[in-house]
Amino acid sequence: MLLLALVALSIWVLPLDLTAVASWPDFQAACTRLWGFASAFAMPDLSQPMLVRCASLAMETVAVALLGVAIGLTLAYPLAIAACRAVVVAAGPTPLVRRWLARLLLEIARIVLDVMRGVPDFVWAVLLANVTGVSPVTGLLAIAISVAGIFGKVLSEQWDNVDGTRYVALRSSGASRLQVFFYGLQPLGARTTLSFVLMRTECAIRNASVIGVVGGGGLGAGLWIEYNDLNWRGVATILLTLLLVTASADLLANFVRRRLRIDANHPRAPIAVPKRLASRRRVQVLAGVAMVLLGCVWWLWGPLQIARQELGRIDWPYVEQYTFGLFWPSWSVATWSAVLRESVVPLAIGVLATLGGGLLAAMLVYPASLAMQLDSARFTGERVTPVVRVVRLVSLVLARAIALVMRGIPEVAWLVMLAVFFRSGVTPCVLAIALHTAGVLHRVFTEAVDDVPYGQLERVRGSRPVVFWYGALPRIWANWRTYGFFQFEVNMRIGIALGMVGAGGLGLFFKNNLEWRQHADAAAFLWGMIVLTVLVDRLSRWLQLTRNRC
Amino acid sequence: MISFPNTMRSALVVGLLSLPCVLPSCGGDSTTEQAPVLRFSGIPDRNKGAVAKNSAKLASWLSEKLGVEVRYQASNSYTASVNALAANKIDFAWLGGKTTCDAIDASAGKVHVLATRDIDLQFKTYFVGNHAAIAAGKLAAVADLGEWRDAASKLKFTFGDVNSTSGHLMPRHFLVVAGIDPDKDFASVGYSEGGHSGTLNAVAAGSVDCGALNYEVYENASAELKEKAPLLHTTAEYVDYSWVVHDRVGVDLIGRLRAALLGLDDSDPEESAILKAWSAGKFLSATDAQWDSIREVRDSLPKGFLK
Repeated sequence: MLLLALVALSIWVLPLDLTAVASWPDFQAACTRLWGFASAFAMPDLSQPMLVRCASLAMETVAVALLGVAIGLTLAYPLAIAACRAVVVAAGPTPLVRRWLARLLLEIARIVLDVMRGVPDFVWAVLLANVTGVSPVTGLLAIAISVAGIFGKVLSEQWDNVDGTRYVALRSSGASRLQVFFYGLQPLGARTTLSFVLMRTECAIRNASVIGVVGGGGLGAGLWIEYNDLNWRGVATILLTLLLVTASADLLANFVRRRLRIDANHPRAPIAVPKRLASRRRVQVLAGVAMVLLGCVWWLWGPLQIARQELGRIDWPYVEQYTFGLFWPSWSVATWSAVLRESVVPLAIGVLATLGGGLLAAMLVYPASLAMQLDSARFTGERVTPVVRVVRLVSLVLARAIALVMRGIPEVAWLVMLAVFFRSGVTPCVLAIALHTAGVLHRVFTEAVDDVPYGQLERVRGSRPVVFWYGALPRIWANWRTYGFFQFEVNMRIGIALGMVGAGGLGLFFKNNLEWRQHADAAAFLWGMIVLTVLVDRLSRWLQLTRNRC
Repeated sequence: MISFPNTMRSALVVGLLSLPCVLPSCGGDSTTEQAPVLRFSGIPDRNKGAVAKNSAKLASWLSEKLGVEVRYQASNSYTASVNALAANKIDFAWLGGKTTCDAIDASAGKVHVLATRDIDLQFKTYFVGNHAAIAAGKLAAVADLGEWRDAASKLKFTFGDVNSTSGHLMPRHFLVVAGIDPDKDFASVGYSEGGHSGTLNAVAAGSVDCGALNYEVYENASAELKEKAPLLHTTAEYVDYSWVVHDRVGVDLIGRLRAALLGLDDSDPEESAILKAWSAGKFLSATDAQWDSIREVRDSLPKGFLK
């Protein structure tokens, strides 16, 4: 009910323009526009210079993302420890002053993380571009800062979620708080941490391509240039390259995460590996990671050197004054009422895109579920003929491939395609985010269904749809909701970002004020973004609390 | 041997490994010699690939002419060019009318106009419309923009970059003078990406019904684009683009730079190509005061797009 009201409100608030599908001639015109674009896709620009350019842009994107995550993780670690309640606020009797100091440290760390996360990565890129210029280094640092904000928050939460009884022995044997962390919390949370790091790395590869649009280099910059020139064949080539990069990162990360995620009691769990072999593998993996990171540094060596030279000459007082000016807001009523008014846009975009994407994802879960399509005989007792098995395999592969493509193409790229059909405005932005969201949510939705132990499904005693509806869905519903809410937070931020390129709202007004050098007003819009992020974050924490209690 | 928990070890190693990546990018080397390099940039007012290609041409010509290494650095936005000038990331720049005033203001008067094109002293904006929208009777060519007031509520309109003089500042000014408040009266108002070529593309493709752009970009566009986006209105003339330079370059080098630009000669093939890339017949000497009228419009314009 509440959701329906939210949807109605969002539709009412946003100036959605559906003229492209409102009448037959308009629809025909829209299709003609799309056709010009689609026919270019049939023959992408495969000339050698273009391919070489794409390959080098792809390498740049990957290098920026990987190094960004590595630096972000390094930054995030100490902050996450300081923001972790279980580490900072010790149990047992402590002097009041020390307790307060601990609390203060905790809050400061959390606020720092909030700001790092609340300022969207493309705004970091815009700010950093004043120091590092149009260069992959800008993208690298922007990703590092925003990724650090996300890691800091999630890691501290993961450690706080470790069951206290599992490390109580450490505490009682007199271990210091940091010792408790290093020997208790961190190894106990390691599995989830590593899984999350992998997921974010893959996200960073996608983000790196988006940041390119605002000066970070890589495939995003290339895509934007080709799009602005309406060189559709070039757009097609870059999009295909982008898809190739994101899809391989996706599949690779999935492969590793599957091994980390699966419960040992699940029928599809990998067989345990002997301890010696496991440590040898670990060393191999670490060496691999080190090699890859060094390769990234090597690839970006030129830009890094230029950035280093330029830093020596830069007029720091000007940069400081400019940057701090952007955090010092105006207090005029007119500005803040505009902030309030424009905050509605990203919120409404977030609601519509998340629900639309979630719905689409949910519809694709059943045909893509491993349990429902391939393993169903284990809990329904049905006999599966080879032909039926092949049909189900095809449905599984097809559904997963669709989702892979949907999330493999970043929102900006979806926007580029949809804007051709719907013309510029809010409509293509909402749809772009929804399509991408559907792909992202589909993966976690399906994983949740496939993680339900088959024993629990067997108890339903029914056909596949019945088992899905009455066995799987009730068990994973809460899980889906959490993912959906998390995605809403992400989508709202993307809504702000796309605001700068057509959706309007906070993002556009921030950009206009920034460009018109109205720094105090721009600062107000920037704080609007931060406050919005923090509010949604607190809301999600609060919702999870109530969910656990129920 | 101390046995670290495995994951902690991995985290440490990853952390340590990422350190060398951070090091080269931070902690600027204060002992770096001030390399005798002149760096310049330009606002991304059109097709970025073309801007980069033209600028590279100019850079190599100037390097040879001045005997100093001249390096082009791409800029991602109009404001970024102004900031780069003030923050000592570039030494001189090709800016639009509004950004020329911005740069003078942001640098507290240390930036000055170096030269301008012959065409910039009588610059103008073209309002263009989508051919299909015109055929459908949604809009027509007008002598006075005020005639669009009644039809405006059905029109999707696009400016160029929000910082563009000919794509936003002046067309907004002329619309306001004609009694049209773009933010309220048009069905929608956008700011096209990709500068003036982006505006022309959007209008020609029908993503919007009409738009305003730099007349020189329109004149140099392909016949096909012009056919799909016919000219509907030409504004009055005003002052636009200029070359600006920061005082830190030094009087001597500034003088030589100005002389080089003013001396570009149409009869020399290489120099003619540069002039052509800038659509200039010639570069002329100019003073800061010539841009005062643009500053006035900038400061007096009603700014519904900011609040």
